[in-house]
Amino acid sequence: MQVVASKFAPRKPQVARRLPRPPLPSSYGESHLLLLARDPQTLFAAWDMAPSSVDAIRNRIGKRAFEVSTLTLRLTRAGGPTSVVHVSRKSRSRYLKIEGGPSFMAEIGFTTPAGRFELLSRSAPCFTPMGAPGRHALLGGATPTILSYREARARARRGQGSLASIAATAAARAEILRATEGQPQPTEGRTIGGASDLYRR
Amino acid sequence: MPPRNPLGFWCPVLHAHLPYVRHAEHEKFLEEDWFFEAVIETYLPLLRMMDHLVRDRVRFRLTLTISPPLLAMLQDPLLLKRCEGRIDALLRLATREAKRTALYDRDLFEATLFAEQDIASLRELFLTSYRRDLVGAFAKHRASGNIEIITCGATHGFLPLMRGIPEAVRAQIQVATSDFRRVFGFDAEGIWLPECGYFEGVEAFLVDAGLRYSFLEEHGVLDSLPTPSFGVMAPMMSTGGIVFFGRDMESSRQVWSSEVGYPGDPEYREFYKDAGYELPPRDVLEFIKADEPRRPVGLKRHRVTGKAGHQEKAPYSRARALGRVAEHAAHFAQERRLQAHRERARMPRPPLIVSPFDAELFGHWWFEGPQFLEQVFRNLDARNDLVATTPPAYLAEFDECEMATPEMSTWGASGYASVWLNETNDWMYPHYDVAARRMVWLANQFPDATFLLRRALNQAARELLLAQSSDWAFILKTGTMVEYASGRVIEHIRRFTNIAVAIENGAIDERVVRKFERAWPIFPDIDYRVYQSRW
Repeated sequence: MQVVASKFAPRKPQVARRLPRPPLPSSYGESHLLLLARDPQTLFAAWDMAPSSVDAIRNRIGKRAFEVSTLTLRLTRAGGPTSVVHVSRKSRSRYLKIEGGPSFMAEIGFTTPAGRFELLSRSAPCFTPMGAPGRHALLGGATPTILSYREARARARRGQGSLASIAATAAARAEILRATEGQPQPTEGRTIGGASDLYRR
Repeated sequence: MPPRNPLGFWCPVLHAHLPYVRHAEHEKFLEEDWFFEAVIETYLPLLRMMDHLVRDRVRFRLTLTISPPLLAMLQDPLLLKRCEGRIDALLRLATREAKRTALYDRDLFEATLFAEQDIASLRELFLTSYRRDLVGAFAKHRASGNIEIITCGATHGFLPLMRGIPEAVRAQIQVATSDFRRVFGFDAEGIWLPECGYFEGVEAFLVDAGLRYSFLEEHGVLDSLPTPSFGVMAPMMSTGGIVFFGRDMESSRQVWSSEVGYPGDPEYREFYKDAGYELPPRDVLEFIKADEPRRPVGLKRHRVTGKAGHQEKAPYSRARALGRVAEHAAHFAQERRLQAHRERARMPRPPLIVSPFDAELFGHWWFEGPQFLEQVFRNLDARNDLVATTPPAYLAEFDECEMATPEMSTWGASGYASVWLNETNDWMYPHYDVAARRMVWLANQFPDATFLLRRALNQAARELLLAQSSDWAFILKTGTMVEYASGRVIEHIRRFTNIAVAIENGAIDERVVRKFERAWPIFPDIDYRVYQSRW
């Protein structure tokens, strides 16, 4: 890293910049939850809340209940338990420590005093690296197949390849959705792999 | 001729990339120096090295990534003109300094004289031999079979953090391969994934773009399912249909390491001691205005010397440095032979040692790096036991691969995404995410745009791609040119949003589109439809 950094290194102190600097919006007015895998132990969640979605929840559960509700991140590992993190209403992102994998889904919403979770947005499935121990536990002593390049490429094209892994993304999502079955759907949200409702005018 | 039964193969890979920096609106712009320095200190010396090897009929094989932003800059008349001005100014400074130092310091004079001659030689190459066409010069070496040129992500976007939006990943790959074809006139067979960042599923986009092979960090191979029998000593076929070559850490460490690596040798030229810091301001006015902070200008005349402070650095001696180059090259080649011999004992075929490096390490950071590479190639050619190769040449010889699924991996610190996603740069990702989803929506909404709408959509795609360059996140992490990097992200996201809003409202202003197009004339043939959904 030291060497790569040197591409940009020898320029201290900085001179005054000439580029425009108006800030980017702190909200795009949609309810959306982004979940990214940083490493085998860490996810990054960032969320935005549409005022209309928040208002809908406030109207549904009542103003008083809403004011004592807590903003909550729920993290579900595919085939595993759901963990809950209460976050500040002013916060918009959080790093989450995780164990295991390989896929997770998160939800952001309000937990009412009665313990009910009012969903604002659900993330797309997020696939994490497992690190050597996790991978080798899955290995089960298997040895790789030896194929000619042509044969291997053909086999990959027949569906053992990465197009299959895109299908696996959908399968993992379905699995997590099954695990969270019975939970309310987002009042305003996004379509996985597509555009936000915000832009469907 | 390479031997019939070699001890092993060595596959050096140089990844040449710089973020797209071009500010025509300013006569001089500080960050354009990155490009000028890379041309003067790395790309020209590498080409000179290749020319020497060809002249002397030395067999060499090298794989070179030229990222699309770098390709664009290497073909940009404005930047090339400015680069010529930079070389001329540097030569004038070196000449003045040679005259001045001749009067009082013989050692410093000789170091300065060498610098002057070196810059003059590079100027001759740039203007006369290559006529400013470095891309053409690299292509010529490719045509003669000595180097393999491959592509990279369109703007070096970090793909593992884009995987939630497949269209964004596809755009990074497809725009890169299309641009490569436009520039070189042939298809890229291989790709260097930006930051060596692999995630399971990226192969779909690579196969779709006609790519055949790529590279993985060591643990990406070793943590594959199942683990390939020969680790990184043979390529593997991923279940996604791409051949991956694994990075050999042993050979990389020998060059990279700040402690045991070669570049820290006391005889080599010191990177940080530069005339820009040493000379009176009036002597470097061509580079640094009187009211600007001091910075390097590229005239370096001292050697590392040891752990001495900057004032105690001794003048550079080219002869002594070249002596160390010869020793280090011989050592490196011998270590690879020993490594190949060790691995050969447990393999049914000769091992392949893949050594990827940032190209800018050679020459820019490590001044003697190109001579080191040249000497390694000469050493291998003379002994003819360990054979320098490229991925296509290797695959032509060894058809069989083990099939496995690699693990998500990068070549950054810790091996995953923490360099590009941490407290210094995580604010970018929600903006990237919103912009990418919006771009996909626009591409789906307007499947066959024409005229001004098409130009606006294409420019929106350009702005998004430019915002996604992994360099911005990296710079924020390293804390070097933070203000510029964050400013670029903000600027591109704002421009993208402006265009998107104008398109959605049916109120596109041609003057605005034209202004943005002129500001960033990259990817002239971009087609926004690359963002249309297929899944």
